[in-house]
Amino acid sequence: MSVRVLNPNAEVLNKSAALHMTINAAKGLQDVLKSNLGPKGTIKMLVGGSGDIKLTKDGNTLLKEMQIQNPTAIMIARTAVAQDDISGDGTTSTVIFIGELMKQSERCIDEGMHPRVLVDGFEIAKRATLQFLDTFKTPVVMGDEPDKEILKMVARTTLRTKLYEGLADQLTDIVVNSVLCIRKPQEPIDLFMVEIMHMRHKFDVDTRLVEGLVLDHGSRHPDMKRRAENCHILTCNVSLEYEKSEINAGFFYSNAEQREAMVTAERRSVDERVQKIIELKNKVCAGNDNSFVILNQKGIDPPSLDLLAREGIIALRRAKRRNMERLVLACGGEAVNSVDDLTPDCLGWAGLVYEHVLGEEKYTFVEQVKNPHSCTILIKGPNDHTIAQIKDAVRDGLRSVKNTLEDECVVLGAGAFEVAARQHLINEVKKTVQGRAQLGVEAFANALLVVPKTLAENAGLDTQDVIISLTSEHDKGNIVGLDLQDGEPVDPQLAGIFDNYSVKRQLINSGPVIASQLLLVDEVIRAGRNMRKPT
Amino acid sequence: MHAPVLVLSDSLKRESGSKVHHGNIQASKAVADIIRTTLGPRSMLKMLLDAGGGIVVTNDGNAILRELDVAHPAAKSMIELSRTQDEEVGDGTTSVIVLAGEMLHVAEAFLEKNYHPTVICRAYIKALEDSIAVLDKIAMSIDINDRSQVLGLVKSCIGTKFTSQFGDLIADLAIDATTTVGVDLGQGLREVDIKKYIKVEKVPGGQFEDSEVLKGVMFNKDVVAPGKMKRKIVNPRIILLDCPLEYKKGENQTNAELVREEDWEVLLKLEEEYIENICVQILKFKPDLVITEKGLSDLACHYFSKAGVSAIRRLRKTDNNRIAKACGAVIVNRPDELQESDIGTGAGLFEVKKIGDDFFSFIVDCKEPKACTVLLRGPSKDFINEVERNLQDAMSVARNIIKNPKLVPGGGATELTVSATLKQKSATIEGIEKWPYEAAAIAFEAIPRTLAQNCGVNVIRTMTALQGKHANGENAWTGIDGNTGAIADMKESKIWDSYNVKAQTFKTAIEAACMLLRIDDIVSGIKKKQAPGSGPSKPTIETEGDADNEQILPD
Repeated sequence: MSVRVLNPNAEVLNKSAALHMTINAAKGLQDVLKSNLGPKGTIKMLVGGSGDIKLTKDGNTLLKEMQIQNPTAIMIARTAVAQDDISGDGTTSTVIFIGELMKQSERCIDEGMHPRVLVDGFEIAKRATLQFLDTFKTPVVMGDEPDKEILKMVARTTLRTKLYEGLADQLTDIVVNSVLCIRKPQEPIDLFMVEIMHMRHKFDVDTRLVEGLVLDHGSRHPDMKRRAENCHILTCNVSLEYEKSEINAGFFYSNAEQREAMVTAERRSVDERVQKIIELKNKVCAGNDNSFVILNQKGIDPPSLDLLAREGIIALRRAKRRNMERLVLACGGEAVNSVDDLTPDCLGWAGLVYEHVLGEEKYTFVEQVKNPHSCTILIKGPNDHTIAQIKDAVRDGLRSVKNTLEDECVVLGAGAFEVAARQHLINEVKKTVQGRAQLGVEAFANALLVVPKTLAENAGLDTQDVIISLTSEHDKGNIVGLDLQDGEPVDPQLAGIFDNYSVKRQLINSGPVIASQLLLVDEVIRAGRNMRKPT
Repeated sequence: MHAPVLVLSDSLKRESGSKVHHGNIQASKAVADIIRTTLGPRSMLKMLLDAGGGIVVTNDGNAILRELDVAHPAAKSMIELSRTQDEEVGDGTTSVIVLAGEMLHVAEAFLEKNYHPTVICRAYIKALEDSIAVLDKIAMSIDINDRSQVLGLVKSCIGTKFTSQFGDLIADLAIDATTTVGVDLGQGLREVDIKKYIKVEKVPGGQFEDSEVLKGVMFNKDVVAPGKMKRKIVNPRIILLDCPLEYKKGENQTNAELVREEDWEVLLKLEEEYIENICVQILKFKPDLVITEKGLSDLACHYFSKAGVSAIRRLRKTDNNRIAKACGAVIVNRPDELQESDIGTGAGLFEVKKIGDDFFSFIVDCKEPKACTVLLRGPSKDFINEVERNLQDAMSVARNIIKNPKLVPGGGATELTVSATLKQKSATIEGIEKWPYEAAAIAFEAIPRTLAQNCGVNVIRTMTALQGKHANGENAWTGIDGNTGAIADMKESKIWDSYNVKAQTFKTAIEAACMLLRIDDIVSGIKKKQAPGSGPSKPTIETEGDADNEQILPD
């Protein structure tokens, strides 16, 4: 209470009040997200301030959209979001796991245990679990030709938790193929090279992988072709507009002829550039019926467009910077910043370029490229929230494939790991621990079970039955997970349910750290310097 | 006729005499009480909330008090103490407050017996001198080149922090970082500028164990033209610039007037040529990497990418300084003054890596880096913030050891030794100073007592046992093992403190206590007239009446 003496405005929660506040907040957050876990999880509808609706199951989106006030909940949410940033999956599991750790600790603390002792136990258990994870994982060899089946299984496991089965299976192929497409040996995978484009159009099952690029704008000249085959692609970052000098410049003239001359002079430099491009076009397109496409990052003004159109060149202006990078990877060639030294080597190649008009929006497809290192996932859906949902799912799916390629191993899913780890902790680790920290290990082990428990609960199964049957199978030495259809134990390897190693690792790592930080808080003080606002 | 003479205007509030003493002491004790539970390895954390929704979870004394807004002037000055301690030596921020609080607490009894504060102060100062003498006696030197010894010391200093559960990692990081940037000034002096040459980059995500000290620098930037410029260069030649690679406009509004039609083209050409010239000048030195603090135009980017040179723009000045230190380059202001010696060749590898969704540039494997980046990873931002605070403390400790390689036993052993020695000496002191002197000796026991309290052992029994061991000034190394609460030999359990930290703690605590005791009058201006806590004091506009009044605020 000493804070009160110094600052009567301060809001203080101490000792057990602080502890219970944090525990309750963690439990509350757990309750919110609990029903979203797993393929049988339910969906939440978020209604924004302006009445916009978002339907989601993705823990990350939920945590970002909800306005969380409680400090403890904010800390947990931040951890979960950090988990998402790094591994792209496991946000819901993180929140649930932390909540369960707090719940288990509450029981021990109510029995008079000191939080410090619990925290020591958590730390021991965490290390043991991580070691166990390393022995438990299933290594996958990723040579130059990765095993597509494993990747598909991992992607399917992730996607099925976000979307319905039919769509998930379809997206699985798309996601795996797109990651393999952008993968270059010996280089880290840059997922930005997969463009995700959406069109509100047709049905969600029409979502497809475009080996090439889709741009969300079209040409600006009515005479340009809407469809061209066998195209040379020029990717450039050259201004084809009236040029301005860096310093302010003004023209001064005294009669009409002079003015006329000035105008042409101003125009001349732009025209020269356009002319250079046209020359190049004539060089490469002479004697065949190939087309020529310019994709420019800067602007192209109408007179230039006109010149280009007359030559039968398709020109797109103001492309996204990121797309320039992707274009080069997809079509080959290189992006040029100046037209001074254009050679045919700078050009890329695409078999088909066409424009698709959808209401007001124009889309340009660059397809049939040779040997692409960048591709586009074109999401279609009848309405915005379907699209948003697929987008989130695709993002997570891409991440999971990438993680698998980088980890070179996977972990059996469907709760198999959690149950196995718990048995390991209770049967082996706990016995080696001296003193009261044993209870901390036990609490940690029991908290792990929350994942299969919640999975079962969401599938409408009896949690006790499921846990008993799972643990007894594990005691017999069989590694089994939970089959959500009938509630029977199932071998995840046969069912093809795999989780990412890095996701599990991050989860086991961050959960106890945050939980221990929260448990050790013995005072919550609100007396900040900027609390001076009159209330 | 004899109306009281009003020296101060009505609007001022004045307190004096014993009321002030009492108030000050109460306030100081209250501050000490707030952070008492955060002392030692078994400490608890505090969660602090501010109006902006920020959360700090920490057990760093300074970090807690910094966030508090207190009304009482004496409490404010106590908080200042902790800040001074943090800036000066980086560690012991909690101890200094606890000790100062205790010093004032024991003084209260004397004030009630009508001792004059100056007498108490004199005794305290004497006690301080003697305690420093004791410190000198029990301090032992270590060899800073012996990594295991330094590691042990840093480890025990930061053993009280939250991150101690992760073992040696933080201590390792701190030592690596400080030895990297240490500069020998000759004559055995070493200068370590933590603020300037060590950058702590926090990247949420990943595991705490992935944190590392880079042999070089990293920063949150990507090359100007990704895809075209190389993202990985072995043994790069680095040029650092702090001028823009854009057309230089006049500082003033400049206008060009064109009267001839050809001029327009000439003007545009000139602007292009200007950039080309700069680029050619730079490219003459065959760099692999050009980094500028200012802008870089598309055209310059074109020339560089054509020459196969990677470029990074708009880097912060401080980062640029660090790169210069790390790879041995000199930051050049004008491209035409470039010299071969300005080019940094010390770096072994330039690489752009993607962590999460951001690109980070690494200039690492430097031959003799004099600057470095500490890359911290962890499950969440709050957590990394706490790690960073711990790391700062650890680095300060490491720096102090490099500067003054002496250490004293930790775990309250030093305080107990000081206390025992002072108690013996008090018998030889004549005059009324004897009693406050003895009280000061007892006050030193506050530290081991708090330690014992926090690890949950029987305080009285432990303290009595410890006092017994120390009574005749022997067993200088016996203290409390903060983890178990058992009485142990600090030499064996390897619990150390840096001499600098201890000395500074004693000095700051006692001098602050003396200063607070000497206050016998608090005059607060109009701002304090509102009942404390009745709300914010808005900036008042000085009316004519009180414009001349100096508002006397105790410092």
